[in-house]
Amino acid sequence: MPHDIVLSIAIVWMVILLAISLVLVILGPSRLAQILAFDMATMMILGGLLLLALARRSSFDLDAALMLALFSFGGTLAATRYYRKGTIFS
Amino acid sequence: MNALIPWLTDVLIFGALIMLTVALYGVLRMPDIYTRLHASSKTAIFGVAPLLVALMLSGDASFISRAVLIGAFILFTTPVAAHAIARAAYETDPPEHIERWIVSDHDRP
Repeated sequence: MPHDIVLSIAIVWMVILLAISLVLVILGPSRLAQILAFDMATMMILGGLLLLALARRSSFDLDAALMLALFSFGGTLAATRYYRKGTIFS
Repeated sequence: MNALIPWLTDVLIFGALIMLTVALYGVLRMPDIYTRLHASSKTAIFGVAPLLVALMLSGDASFISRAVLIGAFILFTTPVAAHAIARAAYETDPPEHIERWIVSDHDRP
C-alpha cells in the first residue's frame, strides 16, 4: 500500500508546516504579520482536513473544512478592522 | 486509466505540499508586510486547489460537490482577506518609499 504511506507522510508534513506557522503567529514582528500568519495557519489546518478526508474516505471532514474557511475569513476581516479602527462594529 | 488515478493523487498532494512549504518560507523570509502578503496569497490557489483536485479525482459525488464549494469559497475570500490586511497596513503606517497613489476614504475632501 504505497499510497497510504504517501498520505501519512503528507499529513506529518502538513502538521510540521502548521507548527511552524503557529510559531509565526506568536513571534510575528508586527500585529498585522501575526494576523497574516494566523490566516496562513488556518489554511494549513484546511489542507490537513482535506488530507484527512482523503485518508479516511469521509466527506464530513470537508464540511469541517468549509466551516473553517468561513470562520477564518470572518476572523481575518474582523481582526484587520479592529486593527484599523479600534472597534469592529461602528 | 483507473489505475493511474492514485499516482496522480500522490503527485498532486506532493505538489501542493511543496507549494505550501515555499509559501511558508516566503512568509518567514520576506521583510515587509506587503511582500509577505505576496508570498502568503499563493497558498490558496497553488496549495489548496491541488488537494481539492485530488479529492475530485479519487472521490464520488459527495466529495466533488463539497470540493467545488470549498474551492469557489477559497477563490473568492482569499483576495478579500489579503486586501483587508494590506489596507490596514497602508492606512495605519503608510510606507515612505512608495508614492501615495491609492485614493482612500480619508483622502477625499
